[in-house]
Amino acid sequence: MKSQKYIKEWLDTLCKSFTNIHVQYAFDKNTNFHLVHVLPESYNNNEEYAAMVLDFEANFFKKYPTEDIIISEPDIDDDMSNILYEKRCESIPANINEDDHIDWNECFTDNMEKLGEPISYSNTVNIITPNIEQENYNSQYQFAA
Amino acid sequence: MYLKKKSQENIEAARILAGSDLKLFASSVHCSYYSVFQLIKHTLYCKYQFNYNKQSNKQENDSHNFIIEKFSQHLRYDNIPDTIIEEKKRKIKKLKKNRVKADYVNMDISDNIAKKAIQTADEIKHFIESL
Repeated sequence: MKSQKYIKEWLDTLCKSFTNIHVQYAFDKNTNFHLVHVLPESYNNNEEYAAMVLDFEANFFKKYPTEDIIISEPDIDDDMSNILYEKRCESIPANINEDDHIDWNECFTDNMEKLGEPISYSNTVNIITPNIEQENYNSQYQFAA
Repeated sequence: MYLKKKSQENIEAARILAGSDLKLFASSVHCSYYSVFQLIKHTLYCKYQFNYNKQSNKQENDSHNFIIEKFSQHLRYDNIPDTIIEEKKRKIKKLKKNRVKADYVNMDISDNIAKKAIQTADEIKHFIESL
């Protein structure tokens, strides 16, 4: 589906625009809705974020008028079993240069193993700090990597 | 004014259908959604002078998405904060998704979903009346 590529490209832009953001995108085949979950929920009160979402939805409608998309906080009513994209972007600590070589995956793995949750490397992780605040995420997000 | 009246009838029907006497939750969700959709159409016509002919001109597209997008666009022209518009639009779309589930998907619709749909419909109604 061309629309899925369009959504993924926009999610890349969204992740570059906001720090400490975690997005999951799935396509619900039962309802034919594209579902995007965004954390933290505090972005719902961010004018810049809201403007970006509204602009995207307007453009999405122009390009794909018969398709439905919902961009929201995580919702247990949503069927997210068919994940197509996931990205977690966290801010870079001030004492670390972005160009320094850091094995972020290793840092992340250590944190994940402490949680005792399954680890998946199938999705993209952008920039991960060693201090991952997993308790801020629902259990379904503990699979994120 | 017919659509406004139909919208009111639908929200009343949604409450009756989801009540303990009937427990017809899927039908209730259907009515909650249409209550909102009809009220948005009425608002586009009465407040934003977007007449009904224009509203149904986009037959080749999803007419519901067209109406929801137009409504969002007019709210932005009205200088309503984007966070408010985004919140209301998100809730309308979730209601639309639950209407699709209620009408077409082979799954149970719980009393919780029906009650949430009524709540959303009430909230959108109050928001529209405050414009």
